Amino acid sequence: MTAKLVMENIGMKFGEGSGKTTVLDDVNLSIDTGEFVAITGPSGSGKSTLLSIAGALLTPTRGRLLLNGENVSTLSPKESTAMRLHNIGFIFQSAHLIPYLRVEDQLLYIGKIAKLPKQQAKKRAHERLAMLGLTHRKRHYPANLSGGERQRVAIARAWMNDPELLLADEPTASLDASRGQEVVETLAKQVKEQQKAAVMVTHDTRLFDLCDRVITLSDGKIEQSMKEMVST
Amino acid sequence: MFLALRELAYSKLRYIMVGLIIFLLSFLVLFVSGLAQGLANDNAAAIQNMENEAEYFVIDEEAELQLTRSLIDDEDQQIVNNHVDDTQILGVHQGTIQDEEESITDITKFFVDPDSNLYPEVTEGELPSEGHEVLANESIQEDGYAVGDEFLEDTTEEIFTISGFTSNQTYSHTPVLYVTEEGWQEMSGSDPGSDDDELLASALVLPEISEETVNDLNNELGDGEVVTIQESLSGIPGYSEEQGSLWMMIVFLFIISAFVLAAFFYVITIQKLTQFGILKAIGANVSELARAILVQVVIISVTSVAVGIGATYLVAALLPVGMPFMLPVTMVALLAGLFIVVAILGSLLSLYKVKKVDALEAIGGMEA
Repeated sequence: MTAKLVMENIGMKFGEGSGKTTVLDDVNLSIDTGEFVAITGPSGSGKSTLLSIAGALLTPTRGRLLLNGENVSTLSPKESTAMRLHNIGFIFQSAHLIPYLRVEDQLLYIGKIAKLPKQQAKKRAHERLAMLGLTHRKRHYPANLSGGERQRVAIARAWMNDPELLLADEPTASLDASRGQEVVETLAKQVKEQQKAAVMVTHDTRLFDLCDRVITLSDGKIEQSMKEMVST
Repeated sequence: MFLALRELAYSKLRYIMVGLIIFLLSFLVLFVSGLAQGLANDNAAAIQNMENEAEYFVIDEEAELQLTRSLIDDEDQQIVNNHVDDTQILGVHQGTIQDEEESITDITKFFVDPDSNLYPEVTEGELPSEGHEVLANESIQEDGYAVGDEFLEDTTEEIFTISGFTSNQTYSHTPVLYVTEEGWQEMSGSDPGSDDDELLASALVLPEISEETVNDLNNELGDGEVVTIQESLSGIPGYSEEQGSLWMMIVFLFIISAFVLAAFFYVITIQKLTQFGILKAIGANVSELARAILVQVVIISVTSVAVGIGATYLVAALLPVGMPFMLPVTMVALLAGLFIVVAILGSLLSLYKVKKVDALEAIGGMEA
């Protein structure tokens, strides 16, 4: 299997001079195609920073980041924006939908900025919405959706451009347990079916058995990396 | 367009309010401009009209640009005639006339050669054919005068007759009466037909001449000086004061508009910063977002200014006839264009803010 995401000796420091704090210290990580990985750890351990670096939202102080074999660390801000658009799907803690776009338009807009042909974008948006059971909600504004529905729209949106890598930062934080389970199950299923890769930051131990691997981060270091037995 | 239009449709109330403010400001700007133009016209139309045919006045230096106080003596007239071929004598005198019921009307008497191109066109009645006939501006009709009416002229205390009307000939907010050569001579105290029948000249009207000639004339002339017709406008009583205060209001309105709009767009943008951050995180680039903002600003301002123009013309149509109001299309186009530019300038601060917004910070949830 080929690696979708490779992090080599990633280090991240914030602040200057004596106030300098090391958030990540020499992190090495490789995520394979079809793999769904959970990152957990106490707060302040650098989970979210790691995710931001993986998503090219943050540039690490040192180390190398490879996405699909391409070196991302050397890209300009403009290039990394384009890279995010085409290769990475984000799911945030809260859905972070655009309030004035209907569900369908949330997805179509991604297609539009990615310069997808209109027909293709439409077709794909419908597929994604159907996949997440949102077809009957496509004309609704985010304000008229339940929390779970919003998060599912966010997943559909992250999926819109067929990204190689999906990054989710506590996607279930705003959902109740059963909804959260459902959302993550969908996520895991998609990763397997589409042969993509996904990294999810979570505190929820109940979700671990849906993941292929759980990485525990502590003080900016990978403390343990355990394989779970997954029944697919 | 995708984001811009959908957001306008979603946040209707907010953008209608911004539009309303732009509408009100543009209406005020257009209306005050119309008033300024109208007053300028009412005050100086007779002189402004001459600008179409000529370029310079020779005026008495000590008159401080006031035609009514100026007098060009024979010597200076001779000097000017030596340099310039096509000069015209202009006589200006302010006075009053009385109708049969002894009601008094302020007027300005003008003398120009009826054969020259400075002489206005007759819109009603006929050209004066006898000495005691005048061509009057039609605004004198408001005081009850009609073609053929007689009046008592104050300097000569003689009876004169209105032979016809012309239009758009006013000076210092009074109607202009174009008098005949004979009439002018009588009014200026010389005896027509006698040896002393020189025409009294308040000013000489010159066509376009070279700067060299202007300098030569200014050197040689005794009491006279050469000024452009435009410059001489400020000598009309009240002209600079009126125009100065009105145009100051217009300039201030533009400055206020720029700040109000900048503040509005800025606050709206600040409110949406998180959204812009998300959009950036999912891959929208800055120019995409900037375009969305600009499209919105242009749509709102063009619509509001268009409504403002409509409202201005509507109100102008409802104004009483005597109200000086004039709004040429070129002026409207200029002001409307300026307004839209001001609105766009006002949104620049927002664009800068959007450029600066950090995707990560906006999302807020990525901090460990």
